[in-house]
Amino acid sequence: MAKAGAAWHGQLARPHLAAMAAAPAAATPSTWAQLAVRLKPLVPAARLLADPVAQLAYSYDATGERRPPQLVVLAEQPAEVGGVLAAAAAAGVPVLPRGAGTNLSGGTLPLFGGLVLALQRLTEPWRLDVAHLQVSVGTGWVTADLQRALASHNMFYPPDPSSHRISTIGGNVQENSGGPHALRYGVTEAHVLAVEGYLADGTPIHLDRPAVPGEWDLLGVVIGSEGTLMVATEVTLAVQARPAGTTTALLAFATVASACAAVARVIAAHLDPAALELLDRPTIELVERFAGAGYPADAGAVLLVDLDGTADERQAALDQLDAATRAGDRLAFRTADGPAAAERLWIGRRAAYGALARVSAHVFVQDVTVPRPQLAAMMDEVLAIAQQRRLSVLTVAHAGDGNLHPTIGYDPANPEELQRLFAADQEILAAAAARDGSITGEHGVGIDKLKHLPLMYSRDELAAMLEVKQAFDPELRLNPGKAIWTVLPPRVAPDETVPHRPHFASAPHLQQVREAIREAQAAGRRLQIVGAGLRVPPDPSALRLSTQAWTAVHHLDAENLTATVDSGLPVGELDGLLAPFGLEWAADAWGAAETVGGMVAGALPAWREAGSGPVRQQVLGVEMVDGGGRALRFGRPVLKNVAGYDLTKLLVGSFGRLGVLTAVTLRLRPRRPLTWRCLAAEGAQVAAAAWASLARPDRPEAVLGRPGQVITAWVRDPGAAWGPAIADPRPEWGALLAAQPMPRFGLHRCGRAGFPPAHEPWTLWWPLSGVWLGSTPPAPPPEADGADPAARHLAEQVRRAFDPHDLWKGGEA
Amino acid sequence: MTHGALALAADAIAQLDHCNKCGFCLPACPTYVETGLEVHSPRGRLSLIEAAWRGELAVGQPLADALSLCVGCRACEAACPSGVQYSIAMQAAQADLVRRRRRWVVSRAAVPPLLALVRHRRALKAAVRLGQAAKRIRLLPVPLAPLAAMLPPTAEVPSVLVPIPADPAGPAVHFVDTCVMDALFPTANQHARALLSAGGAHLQAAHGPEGCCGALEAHTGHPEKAREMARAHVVRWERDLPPDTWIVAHAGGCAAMMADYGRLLADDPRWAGPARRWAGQVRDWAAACMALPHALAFRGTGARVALQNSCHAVNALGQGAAPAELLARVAGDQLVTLPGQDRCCGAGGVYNLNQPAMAQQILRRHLDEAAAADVDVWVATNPGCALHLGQGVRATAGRAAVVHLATYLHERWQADPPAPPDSARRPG
Repeated sequence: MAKAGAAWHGQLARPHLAAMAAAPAAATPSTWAQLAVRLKPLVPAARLLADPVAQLAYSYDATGERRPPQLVVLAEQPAEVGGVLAAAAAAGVPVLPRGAGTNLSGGTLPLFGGLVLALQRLTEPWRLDVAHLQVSVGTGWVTADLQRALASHNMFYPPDPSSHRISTIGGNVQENSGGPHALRYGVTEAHVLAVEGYLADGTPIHLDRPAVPGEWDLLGVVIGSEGTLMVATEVTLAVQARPAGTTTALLAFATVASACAAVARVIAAHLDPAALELLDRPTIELVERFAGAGYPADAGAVLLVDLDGTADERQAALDQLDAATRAGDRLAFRTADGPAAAERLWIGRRAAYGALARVSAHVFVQDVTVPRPQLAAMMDEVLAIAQQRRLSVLTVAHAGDGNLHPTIGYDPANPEELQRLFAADQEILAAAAARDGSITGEHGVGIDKLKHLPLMYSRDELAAMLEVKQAFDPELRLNPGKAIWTVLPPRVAPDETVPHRPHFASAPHLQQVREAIREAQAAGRRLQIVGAGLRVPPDPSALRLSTQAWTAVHHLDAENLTATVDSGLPVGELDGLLAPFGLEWAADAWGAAETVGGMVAGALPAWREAGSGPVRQQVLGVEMVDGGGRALRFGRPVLKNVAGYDLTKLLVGSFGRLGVLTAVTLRLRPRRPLTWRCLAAEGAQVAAAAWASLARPDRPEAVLGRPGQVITAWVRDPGAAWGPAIADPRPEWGALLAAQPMPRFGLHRCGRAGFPPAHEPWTLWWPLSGVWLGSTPPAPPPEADGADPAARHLAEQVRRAFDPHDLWKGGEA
Repeated sequence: MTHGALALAADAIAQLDHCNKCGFCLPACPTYVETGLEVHSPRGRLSLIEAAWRGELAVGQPLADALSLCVGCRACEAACPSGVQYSIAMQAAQADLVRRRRRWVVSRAAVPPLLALVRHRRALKAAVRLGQAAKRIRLLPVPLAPLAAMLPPTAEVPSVLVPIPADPAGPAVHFVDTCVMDALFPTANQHARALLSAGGAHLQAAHGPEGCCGALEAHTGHPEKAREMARAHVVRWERDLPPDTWIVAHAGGCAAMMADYGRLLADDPRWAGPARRWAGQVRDWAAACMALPHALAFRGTGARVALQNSCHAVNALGQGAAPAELLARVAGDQLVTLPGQDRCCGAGGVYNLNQPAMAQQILRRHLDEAAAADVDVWVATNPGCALHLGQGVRATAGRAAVVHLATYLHERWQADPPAPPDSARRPG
């Protein structure tokens, strides 16, 4: 009989876990018996597994350790999930949602035993809305199956973690999975529009993306939360037209350094490759032995580059790629057109993991992200660490994202080697964190990196994550012991942040903010945060805190395409700084005087949502002070980061109710001249034409509706088919909005499949965000718009965690 | 439990050690696809075997039941990035289970007599004729009913083909009359030989009665018997055949088994070397045809043709492309590629007798695909698959005619293609 938590062979000793993960109260056999009775009417006996064989088969994930659960429930209906969660809540037992179990960080390991809720049979529904480029699916859908089903409609869902042939979409959402093609198209987070599911106590919940200011992005926090916040049963994804074609190029270089320099030049040349992968020399040698990929034998590193687009676009990009990488010691430049030829070039990349697995008993795959210009130095450091620890390491990297997978073969039966492996692990993670990178780019924290979270986060930041967890799951029963700390270390200094944190850029403003908070609290008054003050009417009853004096630019990394700036910096000024580098911040201003912080906290619909995504896609990190005076920093200047909860998302659109933003880390994009066109259309044709433009493989950067018009903006001008060219209309629109003062300006949510109602006078409509601007304010207060009661309750719990003294409650920012 | 831990040989343990539990095998596994259960995935089965070997899981009926649902198609091996040879661990575990208590593993009454029959070819042929007769008059002992359901309604009468003269310049080929083929599809064996000759093969004979290759024994936990059978083949080959002879079989499962003789007899002091050498000479029939000096030409009749490939030819031999390439040469017929063409159909040797419910569930997908694609002729490359598909088509009143690849091709063979002239030799 498999005993839950039994000491099985090959388990790594993790005595440290007790100091960071609260163990759930031990459930007695009678608790399990009672639970079985409760579950009987809910789930057929054939789908309740409690025998030793099943306990064993659900005791592991791709990390290879084994901890048996007491009970496995195979859910087939969403309602069953709610019922099982409610029954588990009544019994007080831990619950682990599980997809295909391909997690690489121990995220699906039943660390404390419990009930495994297997979701891979949840494949209902399948609702494809081709017209509005979205699909709603059960979370049990295998990602590759979903991609195949979409391909038959010529549609495309890009994230492709290497496990995509078996991993479920639910697992991808919970892990915020990436993959090689996340470079151009974004990780899972960028594609999720909504989830349906249940909280730990069985309460049904629907979360979608905020559309109007004052809604904060709880869904953005759930994505990547590793099954610790809720169980999703259905997910709605944004899909897009398949690219017209793909060209693959193989580039070989004499050294890793010259390959990394080439990566930097590719980024600097503002090429937008779909994938940009790097293999180092030990990897090349190994894959040549097993896969015969035909990579140049003398190469120190090879790059694989996928270029998507029409034949013309690809040829142009290929020429640019050739020119940008010709300098230095490039040894080879080969191209392949068409899937079969491309596959031959990719074969070595795909074989890398397996090739190592063939020569070693086990394989340890590391996953760190650094700012892109630091890739070469980081790879050197990894090599030096491995050398010092007498381990052989090979590294493949999603180089375009700065995401490295140093991979080390080891023998789990050799304790001395394991010690060296763990030491190297710690050093690699510390090196990435010291470069202001992330200790995990796409594999997750799970249990593997729990102890390393302090490399990135202070006690206060870990506490903020725990508070969010408690808002969702007060009993800490969902996937316990994963992703975040549920036991906090003792507070050792009054301010954990400032003295110890070299990367906290806006530290000079902290004192001012804290004084303002203390003052407001002492006076029992609200604290009004004011940026540019363009649309915020002064609140006479509140104290004011202006961010306008904070205008420093802390870093502007033109090679990494990131910047960290003070929140008070006007966007016009930012734009002036970026222009000489050929860069811009794609969260277009609604007025040049608007501050960066105001743009982030307001999260107004972005003009160019079609090309660059909403404002939240342009924000990589925030620094803030919450209502309790805690200085917090979330996010990093990297494109992939799944360490802990993504609380940056909460602040985008938070409307100044969760804290004072002091600095923001921005994702920058190459500045591209746009051709604006205006197509005359009547009535329903406006929507039809707008969506038709969005369904093109070369979709426009901006698509907006106006009464009688569809306005589009193009990087590659398609000609007069989309109406006559017009001048950039954004200044005019900015003025339109400026005339509508907050808090009641007329942004209304109509949903992606919706359209402004016929009886309402409206001036602008954003199809992808499902928002329209009218002359009347929306009837209900904005925070209640579109959110279900459970989501509203959650939002309030989260607000209380960040604003315990109600400094920002009730009023408008 | 009193039985102690599962006993495994070093090569089986090595497979367990190399499994990183990445899960890439799951989508390749027919029983995982049907059940969505980790227990019925290759990763799950390896974990169970490992736990039983470490003494963490009792060795007994529940373990045997879990392992028994594996069809043995080896698609997981083709999908594994780490090169884990699942079948080695699986067969070792099955063997130890059988050694401890036979009834744990082989559960259906029809199977042991069948295994006995394959060791005696004449008896097998007689049994097939008897079965067909009994089926016609509906007189059949209950345990044998599933076995009879597999049989085609009438016996195939061997047609008499005039032998094609041997081409001494061609590659030496020994064609193995695999036993189930011989009993059930005797003409297919003749067709296969005829086409080999037509392609320029110099057919060789090994003397004495040819026994079973040992596949059914090896897959049902009887490695010792399998080794005996393997040794008998190697002895004859070594005695009768020129050293560079190709060993060709047109049942993928048998070809894969013979290609594994090197490993199977690795510890045999006398025959390890020859077994390794002969194993390297094994080719699936279709791959051999593709490699012959004269290209064969075929003319079809406008039929919609689909292929059910042999799992072992695809996954174990890596020769799964050849049958489709041969079919593509049939001018006039339309080759329809079914999604499940290279995936297991659920036949699995005697699997469809031991696990009829799962075998039928797996088959269902294939039947649906064939029906949806409006297939006229469904070509199988393995006798077991042909029986399984045929039974399924009959049970669902489908319209596809199931034939063996060799028969299908022989019917469409153009003995007088326009070119090249040197292949213009025909029987009679």
